[in-house]
Amino acid sequence: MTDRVLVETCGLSVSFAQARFSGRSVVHALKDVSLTVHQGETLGIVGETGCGKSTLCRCIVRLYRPSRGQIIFDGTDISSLPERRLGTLRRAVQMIFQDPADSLNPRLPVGAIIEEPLVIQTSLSPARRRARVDELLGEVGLPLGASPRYPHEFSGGQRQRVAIARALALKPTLLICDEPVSSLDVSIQAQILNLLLDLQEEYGLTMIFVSHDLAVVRHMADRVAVMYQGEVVELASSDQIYRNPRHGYTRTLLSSVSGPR
Amino acid sequence: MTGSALVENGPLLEVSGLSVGFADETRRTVAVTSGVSFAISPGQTLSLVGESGCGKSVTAAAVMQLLPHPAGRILSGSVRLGGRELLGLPPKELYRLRGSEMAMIFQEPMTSLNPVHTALDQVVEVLKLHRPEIPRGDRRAAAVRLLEEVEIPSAARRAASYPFQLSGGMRQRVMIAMALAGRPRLLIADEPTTALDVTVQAQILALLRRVRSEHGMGMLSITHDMSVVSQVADRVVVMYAGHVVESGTAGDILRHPMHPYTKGLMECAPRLDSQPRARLRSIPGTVPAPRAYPSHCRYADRCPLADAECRAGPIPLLTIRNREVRCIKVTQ
Repeated sequence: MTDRVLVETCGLSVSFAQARFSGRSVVHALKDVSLTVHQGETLGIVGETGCGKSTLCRCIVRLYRPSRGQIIFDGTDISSLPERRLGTLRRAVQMIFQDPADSLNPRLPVGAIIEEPLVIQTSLSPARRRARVDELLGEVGLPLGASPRYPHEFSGGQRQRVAIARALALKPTLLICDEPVSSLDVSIQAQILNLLLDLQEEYGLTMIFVSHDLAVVRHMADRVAVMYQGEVVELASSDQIYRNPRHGYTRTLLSSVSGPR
Repeated sequence: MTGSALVENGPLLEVSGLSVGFADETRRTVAVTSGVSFAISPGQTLSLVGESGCGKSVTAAAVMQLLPHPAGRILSGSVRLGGRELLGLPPKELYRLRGSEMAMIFQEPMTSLNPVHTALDQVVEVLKLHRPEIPRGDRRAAAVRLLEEVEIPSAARRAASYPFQLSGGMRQRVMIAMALAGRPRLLIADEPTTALDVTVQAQILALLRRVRSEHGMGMLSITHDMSVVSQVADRVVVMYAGHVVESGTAGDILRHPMHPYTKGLMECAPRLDSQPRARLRSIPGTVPAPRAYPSHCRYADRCPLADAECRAGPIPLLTIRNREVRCIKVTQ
């Protein structure tokens, strides 16, 4: 980890209008979130369903436009950049999602899925793109023969490997992992977590790692942000959060995990 | 109780030598589980543990006789509830038993609740079917009491909610109220907390523990999460590729797992006190497909201890002290 700040959010708020029978109401999904992510570190985000973890991730990749506040990525405020000027961001930031069955196009073979970001974002020749796809397949531990096969022919763990290969195709600086192992069996979780740790070293990735599983977040992250109802209620190093939790909600979370974990 | 003559002593549920087969694309039957045996006493919780594809849910579905028809069928074995053989019972009798003698709750309550009926209506429906002694006019009050029993706050008001208006934890409480409505003696919980947040998970597990002891039910809990096992189970049966590979008391197995697969399952989850960023012990590879089950030790291809002896032939389930283990390496 270096002192260079890669991502900074200042007073980030997002609200969604919700249509109800009784008229429209506003849901505040993020309230005044300020945090920094340093180059090369892993920032963990924990909290329960609906606390704003995924909304925060989607803001940072600018899938959502924040209602208030700034997102500074690598020195540029991206919070209100128009879509056509987001090219650099789209290349530098990649995301992997919880359910690889939903995030991979079922009608494309795996090779084409991994190649797609290269087609859109680079001017590499078809031969060079295919060489890069083969290289990526090897890096994520998939057989070279995987290219012409379709996502449904793979197990959940292998599909998540495909999603990781696609995310790494453009050699991003920031990788956002939104519950990447929550839908996998424990034995496969371990394989995917190990792979992410290896690839992080190899690519020098900065990571934002979201999970509701405290043990997984502690294992992966240097610092942890605990979110509750749209706010960051505690932000500290992993060790501190687990040894000396300060916020009441963090303590509740920790006490819910018992047994051999 | 609905007055069926059940034997009161001895185990509540006794599964022995249960094998389930499924037809593949060529309509050949492939055995998915073979020779599964275990017993549950009243008031006891047994956890079936293993990865996806090990045969846990198929075993539970076979006990309830809810295997998909006509693809799945029971090849051999017996399932006794309170001493009475369930296999071969006429469908009408099974229909009566499901809900009143045995009930089941599932992983995702949103898909198992009816989206167009309120929580109250769904509990009332179970009462109508399985509790004829409750007069029609008292059913709604009885249903509200059940919703209160599963700790739904302001149950009388929330009862009018539709499933989509309830959180995941609340939906699972409605499912539990429906399961309790028929006063079953056996409750089967198939990954009841996998889709829930940790804080809610702990609440639901505590609720299940409470209703189990208050009603003296036997419980069959299915999970792949060892932390859930430690919170609910009295006994544990570990399944791998359709076989029981280890069984014993929860205390013994959690403190001292013997089968390399059980050990692997326990070691691969990161712990709150483990070394951050250290590479986790993982189990290489995946569970084989039923068609590809080897005739020798089914775990051999992923096992760190496997050698030629393990691949020489089928491995029997060995009894070691209070434990059963399907591994020839643990005795050496």
